[in-house]
Amino acid sequence: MRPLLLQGHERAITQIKYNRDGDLLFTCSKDKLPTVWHSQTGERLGTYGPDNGHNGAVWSIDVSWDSKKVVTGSGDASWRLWDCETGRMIRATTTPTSVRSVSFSYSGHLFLYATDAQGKTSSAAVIVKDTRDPSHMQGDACVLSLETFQNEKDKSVNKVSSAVWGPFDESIICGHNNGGLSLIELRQNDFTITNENAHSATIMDIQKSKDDIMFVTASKDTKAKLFDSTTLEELKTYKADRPVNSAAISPIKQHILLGGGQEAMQVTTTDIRQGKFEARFFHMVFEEEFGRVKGHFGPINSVAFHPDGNSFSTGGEDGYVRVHTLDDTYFDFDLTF
Amino acid sequence: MDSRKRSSASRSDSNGYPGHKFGNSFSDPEGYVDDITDEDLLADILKDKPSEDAGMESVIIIDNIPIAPAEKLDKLKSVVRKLIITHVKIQPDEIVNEIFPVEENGSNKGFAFFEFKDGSIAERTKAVLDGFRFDKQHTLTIDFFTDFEKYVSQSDEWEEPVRRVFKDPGNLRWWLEKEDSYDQYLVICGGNSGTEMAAVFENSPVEPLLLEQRQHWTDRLAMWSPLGTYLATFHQKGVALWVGKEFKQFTKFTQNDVVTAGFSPKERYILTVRNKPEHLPVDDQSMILWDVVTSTKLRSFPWDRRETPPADTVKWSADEKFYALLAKETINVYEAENVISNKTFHEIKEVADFSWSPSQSHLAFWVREQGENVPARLSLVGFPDKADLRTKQLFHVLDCQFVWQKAGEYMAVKVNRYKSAKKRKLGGIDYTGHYFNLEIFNLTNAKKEVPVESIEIKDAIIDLAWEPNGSILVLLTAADAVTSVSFYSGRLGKQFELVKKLPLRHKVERIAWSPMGQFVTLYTTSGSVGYLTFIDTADLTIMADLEHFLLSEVHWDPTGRYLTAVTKGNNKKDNGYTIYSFQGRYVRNEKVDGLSVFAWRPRPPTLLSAEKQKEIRRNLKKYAPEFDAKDKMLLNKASREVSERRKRQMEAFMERLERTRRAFDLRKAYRIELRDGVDTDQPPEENVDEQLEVIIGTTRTILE
Repeated sequence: MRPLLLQGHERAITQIKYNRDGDLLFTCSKDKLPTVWHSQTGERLGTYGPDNGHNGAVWSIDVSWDSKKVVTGSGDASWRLWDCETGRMIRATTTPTSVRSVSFSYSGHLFLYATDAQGKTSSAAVIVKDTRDPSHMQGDACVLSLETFQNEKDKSVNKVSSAVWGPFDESIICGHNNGGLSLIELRQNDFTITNENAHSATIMDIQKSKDDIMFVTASKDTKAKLFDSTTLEELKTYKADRPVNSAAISPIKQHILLGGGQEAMQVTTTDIRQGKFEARFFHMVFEEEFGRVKGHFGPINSVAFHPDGNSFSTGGEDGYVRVHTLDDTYFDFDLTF
Repeated sequence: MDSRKRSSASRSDSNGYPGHKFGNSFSDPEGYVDDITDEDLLADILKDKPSEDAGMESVIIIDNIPIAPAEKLDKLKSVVRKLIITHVKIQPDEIVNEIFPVEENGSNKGFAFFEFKDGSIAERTKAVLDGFRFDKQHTLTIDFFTDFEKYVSQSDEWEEPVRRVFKDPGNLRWWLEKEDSYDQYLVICGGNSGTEMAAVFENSPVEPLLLEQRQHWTDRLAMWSPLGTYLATFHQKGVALWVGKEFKQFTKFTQNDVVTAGFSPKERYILTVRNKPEHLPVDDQSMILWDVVTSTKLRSFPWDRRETPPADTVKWSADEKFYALLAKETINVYEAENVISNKTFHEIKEVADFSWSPSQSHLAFWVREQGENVPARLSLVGFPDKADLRTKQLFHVLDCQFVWQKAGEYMAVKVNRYKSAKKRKLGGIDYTGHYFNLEIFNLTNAKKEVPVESIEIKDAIIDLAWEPNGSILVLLTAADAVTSVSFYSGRLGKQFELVKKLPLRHKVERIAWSPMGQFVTLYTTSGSVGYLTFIDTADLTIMADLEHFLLSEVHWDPTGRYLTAVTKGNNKKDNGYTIYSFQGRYVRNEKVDGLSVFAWRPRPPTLLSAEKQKEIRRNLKKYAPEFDAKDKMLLNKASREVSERRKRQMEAFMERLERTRRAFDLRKAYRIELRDGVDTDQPPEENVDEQLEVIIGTTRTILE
């Protein structure tokens, strides 16, 4: 089946996400307008903004499980909370630096955001807010505010490049700039587990399995890896020979979807085939690649599976979102054992 | 040392000589015997003690100087001194000392000693002035003073050489005796130099079998010998050969900074080649010829240019009986048997280029035009009788290139010609009206003379190649930005004629024939997309036309069943090799980071007679099922192994998963509570439109 091509963003897509029901697809891009689409038809339902909208690249977007609230984090050094249905802005707060990653907790009441470091004045941090608490919404109060640790050797700040909630509302999984992985436990108010050598380069994306017990990381070191959500134990490795920007776990099959490709700054000097801008399917357990889907003419920045597992979407540096419906040959195929 | 001193002091105390009682007396007590040697005490200073032969390396002996009477000796001295200063290009003060020994009557003895500031000047002086003609009667010879001892101690009597113990290197042809005789190949890869790891694989079905793998096996490159017996690796100190099943070291050839090497066709000799050291105007040890079997040095060849000498500077006749070098437009042919004597067997002058037949002792060469009246000449000479087999004269020749058929039955000469030449005012010549000519020497009939056919080609020839065992000549030509491939054939003794000319969809530059003939691959390595075109010349059809991203090299395996497309370099990205079948069907791809060398192990020629080969080919259908069954069995075994491995992986993974999931399920109630009592683990309820029929009322109308 021909993929749906969602043309609406004017600049590179940074993140895409489905809601739990799978009828809505949320996208954000380096242009200032996070957008919501009907995932079945590709109809553009609306944008969050431009009224009260962001004033810079939007790096991250998330929607609560009940599809009521949407949170966005932007390079304009702010996060914004939106009413999902009306597109009305509920709350906006400026932060010292850019917001790289936002995520709703399991309950949908809490959300986290991770900020960049800026020189010596402000260090990178992970902050958790409770949407039910007015003091959190209007003031500086928060559930947790944790500076991300400094590397003892070179004193560089290992900012959090990607963060998601762990299972329940109890922990946060952080992927760092240096390829390290860490777990914050809210009750301890600190990092409890760190895995410095999870990857050797920036972790670009973290996505959980449907049941939250595993998560997959995507890294610039050309690998994606599967980890246990509670112990951060490494389970599997998927080797792509290009930087991986995003990885997702199929909700119905033991498949991993990778998106990436040669970095955007090098693309103009190379042939499109050399970039390997395909979405790539790996078997979760055997770590073998078994399929590729072409389409983008720049690296893929974000991939997402539809919650029913029958389709997936990719968002690329080229500014397009492609919604692919998986066909019978995909469902008929499986690696035998 | 300190402890020794202290212990001797304490011993003197215990002997009852309390020296300190009388103030600071350091003199030895009476009867004291010093039992410590100077070496013990002063080893660190003594090692700098001047030795008698220090500085000797900067002294040379110049012999064969004219003898001058006493009154003219000073003049002679200054002439010799000046000669050294000007020719070796040194400052006068770099000559430290000069001694001209004299007879009783005051005349010199005909030799002199010179001492220089350092040894490198002495070396340079020897390189430049050894063999220098001082005048008509006197040719200087220069020796290092350090060699003097060596020559003096040379015994005048011949000593019988010690018989070397024969070391059994094992079976050198072991790889040919393997039951399935899969072909082997060498892969070198890794690290910054690309030579960190070297490995030999066997091209077995399903996946390659690793036979041997060594870290830092070679420092530069590595190569197989032409019949596949030896693996040669290159090191700082020289070349090493490895043989046998365990790849044990067979021998080594010492030459510092060796860069490349070339074997003779039957592997008896090897020429090791190094770059010319900067400080030498002529490197007389640039190329060294060795006997592989006895690993003795046979002779060396000089080189005076900056670039690396090509490994085929010394070219061999097919039977290894003769070798030839082209230097200063002269071919010197030598006999391998008399290698020590260095005596030229035959000399051909004013030659532009030459080439040996790959199967016979025939040597082809060409001579440039001399002015307007003497034509260029193509000649074929037979050895050892130096007989002129065929000569062809041609005008308007710019360049010639020899292309032999591997069996030596045909030789094509690609002649680059022009219609007219004009002398430029500023010097140099403008050539116009370029065209190509193929001169085909037919050597199929051994008894008759060699007929030559001439074919004119209007388009530019990019590449040409003979079918290794047949009479098909493939030509790549370009005209108007279209590359075409042409097939010429002279089967059954007929004249050569164009059989077919196919325009190609892509630009290709190179031809690679299957070593067994019939199948030929055309390819290009320029640009990021390489193309591979597989052609069956039996019916002249294109079997496959493939794109191969980033193609650097193409290698046929020795049996002609597989072709490897190699990607290397390119900043070490996407390095690896892909194996295709001879029809262009993809077989497998192996990724190899930092790949620098891929080489199939060559096979010696088959021992089967032509009739036997024909018989096998005729009965191929009979043998085929047997091999097919074997292949199938191997594949089954492999897929069974894969599925077993997968089963293990899956079981381990699922077991782990279950454990975690059980822990999670214990907290299911909490999960529901977090989401305000909604169990989101259940699939969301679908909104189904229900159609309800409600009867509002009934009326009855009777239609008429």
